[in-house]
Amino acid sequence: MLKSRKTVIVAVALALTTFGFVGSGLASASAPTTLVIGSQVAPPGLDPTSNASAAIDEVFDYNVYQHLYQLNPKGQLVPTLATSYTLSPNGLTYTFKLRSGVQFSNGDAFTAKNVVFSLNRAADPANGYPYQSLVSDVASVTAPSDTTAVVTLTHADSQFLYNLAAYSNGVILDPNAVSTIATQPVGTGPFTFVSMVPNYDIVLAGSPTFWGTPPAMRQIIWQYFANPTTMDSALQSGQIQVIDNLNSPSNVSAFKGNSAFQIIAGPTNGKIDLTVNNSKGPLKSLKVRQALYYALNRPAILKTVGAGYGTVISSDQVPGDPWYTPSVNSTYAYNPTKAKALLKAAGYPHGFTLTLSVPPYSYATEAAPLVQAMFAAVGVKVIIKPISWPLWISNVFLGSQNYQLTIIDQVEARDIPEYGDCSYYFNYAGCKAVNQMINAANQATSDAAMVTGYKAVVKKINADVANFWLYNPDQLTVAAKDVIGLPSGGLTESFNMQYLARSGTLSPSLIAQGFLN
Amino acid sequence: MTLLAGKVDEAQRRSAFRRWRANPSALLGTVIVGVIALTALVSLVWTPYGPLAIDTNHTLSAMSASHWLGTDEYGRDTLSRLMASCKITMYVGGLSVLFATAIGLPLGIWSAWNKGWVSQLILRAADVLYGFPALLAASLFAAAFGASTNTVVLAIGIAYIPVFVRVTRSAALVILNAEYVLAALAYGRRPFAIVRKHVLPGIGSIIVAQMSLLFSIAVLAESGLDYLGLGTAPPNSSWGTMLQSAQNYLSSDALLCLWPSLAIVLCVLGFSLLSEGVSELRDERGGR
Amino acid sequence: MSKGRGWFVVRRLGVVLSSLVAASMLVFVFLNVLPGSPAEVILGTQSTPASVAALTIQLGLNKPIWRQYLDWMGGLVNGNFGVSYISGQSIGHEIHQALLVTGPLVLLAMLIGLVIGVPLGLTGALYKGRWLGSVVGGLSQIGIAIPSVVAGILLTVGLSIKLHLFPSSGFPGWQDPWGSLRALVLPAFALGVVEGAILARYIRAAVMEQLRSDYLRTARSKGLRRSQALRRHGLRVAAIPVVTVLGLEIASLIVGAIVVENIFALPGVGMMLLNAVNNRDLIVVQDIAMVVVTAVLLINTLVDLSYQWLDPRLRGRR
Repeated sequence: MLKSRKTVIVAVALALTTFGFVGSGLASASAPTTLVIGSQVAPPGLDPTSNASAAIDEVFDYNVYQHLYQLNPKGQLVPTLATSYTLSPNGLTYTFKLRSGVQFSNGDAFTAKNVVFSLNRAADPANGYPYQSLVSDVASVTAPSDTTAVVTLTHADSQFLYNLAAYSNGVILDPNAVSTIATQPVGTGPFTFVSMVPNYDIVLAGSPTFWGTPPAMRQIIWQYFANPTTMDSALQSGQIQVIDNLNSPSNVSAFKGNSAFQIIAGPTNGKIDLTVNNSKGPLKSLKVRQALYYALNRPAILKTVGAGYGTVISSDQVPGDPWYTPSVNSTYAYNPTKAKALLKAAGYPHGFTLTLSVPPYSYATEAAPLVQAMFAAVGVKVIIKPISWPLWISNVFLGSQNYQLTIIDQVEARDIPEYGDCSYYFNYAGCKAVNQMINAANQATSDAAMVTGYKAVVKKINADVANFWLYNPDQLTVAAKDVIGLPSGGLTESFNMQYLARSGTLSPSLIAQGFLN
Repeated sequence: MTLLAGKVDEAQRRSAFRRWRANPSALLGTVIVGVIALTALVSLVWTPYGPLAIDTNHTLSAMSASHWLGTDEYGRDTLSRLMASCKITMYVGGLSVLFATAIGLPLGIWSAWNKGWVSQLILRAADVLYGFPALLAASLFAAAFGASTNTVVLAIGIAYIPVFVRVTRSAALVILNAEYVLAALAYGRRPFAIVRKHVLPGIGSIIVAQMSLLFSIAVLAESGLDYLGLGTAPPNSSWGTMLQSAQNYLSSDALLCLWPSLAIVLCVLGFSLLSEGVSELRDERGGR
Repeated sequence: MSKGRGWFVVRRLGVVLSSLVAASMLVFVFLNVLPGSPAEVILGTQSTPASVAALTIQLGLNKPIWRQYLDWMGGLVNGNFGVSYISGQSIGHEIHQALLVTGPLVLLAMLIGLVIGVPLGLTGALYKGRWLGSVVGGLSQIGIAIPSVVAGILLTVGLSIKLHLFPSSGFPGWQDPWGSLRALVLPAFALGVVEGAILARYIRAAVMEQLRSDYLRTARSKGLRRSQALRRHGLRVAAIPVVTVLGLEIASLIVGAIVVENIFALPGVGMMLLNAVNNRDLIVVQDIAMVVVTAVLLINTLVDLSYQWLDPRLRGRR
């Protein structure tokens, strides 16, 4: 009895691995088909359309839910549920050709009607999509045929397709499964949801109805560790095979130089900012902001907080942005003498006191004492005030915006338009001018004109020191040596697991898209 | 007369001191607590380096003549941070225990005295409060006011109130039922006078032992809460937060974990020995 | 007599119930005056005043506060713990899953505590004044002083990373009973060692008191050896302070469990509580608080009831 059961299990495992072998053309018959990924922040739920938590998107976006277009690890658009699109000359109408023969994991067929339903659902403010504002310019969505969807905008928006691909407002849903979206996610992606133990793990399995090549990994478990040290030892002892991102980059020392592990330092869209409330006290003065920016030794902060993995930035830009302007980053290099002179010129020869509100994230708590020491060196006293995340949202980000400085990783891609939002918590005086510049750039009909327009914004907010940008952190993925198909960086909110395998080699086209061999 | 009384007092005091010296728990406890209290006092005016002074050129350095216990990931001097943490521990332990005593002691005596519904109400309220573990309270306070040393004091202090109510009540009941007190009552002595003359001196050593014991548990609780990020917030140092961040370097720099661990163990040991010593001395005296 | 005892039980349960109602109000009011709403946390850095207002209405958080309280209590009375604001999952199910981790963890820790504490305490008392007694006393003093954080870290480093004897973290779920038990061993030890040291101390004191008591002296004068006399008469009475301590320690074990769950990445009640507080998942926090308070109150009641059984002198008294 026992023996026969064992045989069945072996047979199933063989069938699965063969499947993987045929499918991806890379896994050998003996390679394991299960992978455990460790991560620090557990998703608060399963529904990416009702919660902004990046941890939900990381697991479910692209992997369970798919978009018309998605981003590859290099941040480029890749046709997914659409096969192509055309844009009308006035920039208002997108016509998508859709993939046929696609099924949801519950067996329902995917047609243009799903696109109409999903985009309308996202655009309606009553549904509370976290990224609703990014699709608020949708005028109508229609389905002339089962394989054609037409989206009309109220005004030209050069970022529309990117936003639809990058954020969870672009996920295509099955109207029949939406009522149980919080507990039983249904999508068209390579994986289906199996189970979740809150704050502990999420189990996904390869989807039997997936339209593309089935993933080599038939089961992927996300396991969550509130304690980073515990997670490190789980990887060292082989209980997990991948850590998606080391939240404390200094922990990388535990794996460096060990040939059993690979360390992948890849780009992200994150901007770790010492955020300035431009409307508070001395911070209103441009000279003061310049002085304080000169007082910050940002390479030293990157070295200590980010273990050196990242890029020092001096404006709201990351190397992956089309309008990235590296020359800007050499401005405001560390110069405490100049900082003191500027403070004196601004009328503060004896300095002043600032309060720094620190949310409970490791980069913030680790950078805060450094900022405190660096500002103290030019005569500015900093009081560090720890603040819980809900309080940060309600007191710093919204409402009274009663803060002077805070430290936060602005993780959203291409979020420079925030500097044109006058109600945003920077309280930046140049917001109106920036808003006009960005509107003009979005209406531009050529990419070159759009990029030039955005570059001007990058330079303007840098000249105004609208913020103290510290650095663009890398994503530090650590994995067992044999894991292939890992995304090369964190430019997408999703951790794309479709091509993960425990052996073999990856096709050159996937490598070109930024998946690692 | 007064001369004679003074002589008796003097003799009593000398014998108390002798018994104290002869009791190993009490002696060792006093020495440890004394050292820690002294370190905390010294740290108010002097530490080898500033406990927050960052030196990014000397991070995670080993023990040396310039940094006796090495430095942490920011190049801060470990010894200085240990000393500064002493201060936090004494503050949390002392204030939370005082807070709980100040509220629990009178309520306990009152509930022992009064046999009516007020007493019942106090006891039931203590039960409800007791149902709230300190951690639940601490996490709620941290959520409301932001995690800080004072939220820990409040959380631990509140959690101890019911303990003091119960301990005080049972000790006071014994004394109030004693014949000499019953006699004093019948004689018409006022309640306040009885409490002052008989109850307080009678339960004094029990309360002191309990305070010392709870101080030691407060040190443990504080380290746990700080470790979970519900207490003293970085960059300020406490043994719990030091342990929490040192843990990241366990594989490369295990000593960094050792120092705060040792400090916690030593401190808890000191106060719990002191508590045991006081109890033993009381038993000896009672047994005589 | 038995009727009197039944009445006593009923009265105690009534007290527990009214205490629970008081506790529920305390928790509810405190949580609802906390600044920061679930809507803001859900929307995160995407919140705008308009979207927060819309979501607040959608979640039903705009209802009057007494209404929300009654809705919540009404659900609890009917065994319905409600649905999480944040995850949309059934809270009853989540708490049930978490209790299946924390419950066994606490019980196992208590068991380990008893196994360590009882022999140590008895040895300490019977050999008082001799070197064995001093060694035992010293050991239990040091044991008490070791924080569960330190014990947890030491155990993981020693037994799991270096020797690979136990998993360093995680919990496979009870469909794999052997694996689950193995996963709980180290965390339970981290909790239980301290527990054992505390118990040893109380047992030692209690047994010493019994040894001095009059009726044991009488028993010994009848010719029984000290340990015999203790076994026949003293242990049952000495069990009273031990049971009291066990009851008292439940609360501290639950606190310790949270720290240990954090170190060993266990999906227990403690982790659930911390996450829920951080996410402002109000109903989850309220529910867990009520579960914990209920457990502690019930255990205290059981402890009180057990006095009646353990000490014949107390029978018929209250």
